[in-house]
Amino acid sequence: MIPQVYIGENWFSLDEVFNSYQNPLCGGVDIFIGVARSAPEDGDVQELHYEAYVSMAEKVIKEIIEEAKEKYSIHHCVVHHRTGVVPVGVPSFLVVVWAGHRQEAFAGCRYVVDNVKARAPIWKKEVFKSGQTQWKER
Amino acid sequence: MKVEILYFSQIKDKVGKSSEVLEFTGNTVSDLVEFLAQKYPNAKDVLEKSMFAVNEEYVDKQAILKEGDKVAIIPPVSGG
Repeated sequence: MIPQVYIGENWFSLDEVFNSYQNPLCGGVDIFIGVARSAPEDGDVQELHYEAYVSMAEKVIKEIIEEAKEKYSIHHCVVHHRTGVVPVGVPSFLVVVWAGHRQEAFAGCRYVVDNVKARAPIWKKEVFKSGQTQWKER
Repeated sequence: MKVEILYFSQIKDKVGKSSEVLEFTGNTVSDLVEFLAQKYPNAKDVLEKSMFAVNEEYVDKQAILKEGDKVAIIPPVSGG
């Protein structure tokens, strides 16, 4: 069973996520994957540590999905976010949006991605090769 | 009044704990923030740039607290 909103250490297969919702009215499915990135402006990042206020973040994300449904007439949306250690190059954030057509899917997906990043109580700490760490702001 | 306070990310590192129950004199989130800034002077800068949630809802600093509320200090978020 693939959860619609999930924040935790697991990562689910994209195929299973895609197959977790079926609706013959949906002709466009947009998938966004955020990947742990080594920000050259910050230094030599080896991995990211994600922390979340899980219960509140799930609540905020569910509100964002409802807003996207109203604004962009999307049919369904799955949001997963990893917590704990995520090495550079490994996915940490997944948003999948099902809509009637591509325009709604693109717009709805962008809305959910942007708003989760701005509003969900989730934080990342950069861990550098030197062993030093820094909480990222934005 | 007594409230439960949750600390995350930067502020958790600064106060050295993830939660505590504290008794303070005052009514609003703003009063509580002032109390925390005095108790943890090293966390004052993070408190200044944080958002606040009461019982898992974002609130502004004028929000009135009541006994037993769960208040989360939310430093700048950076998910994704």
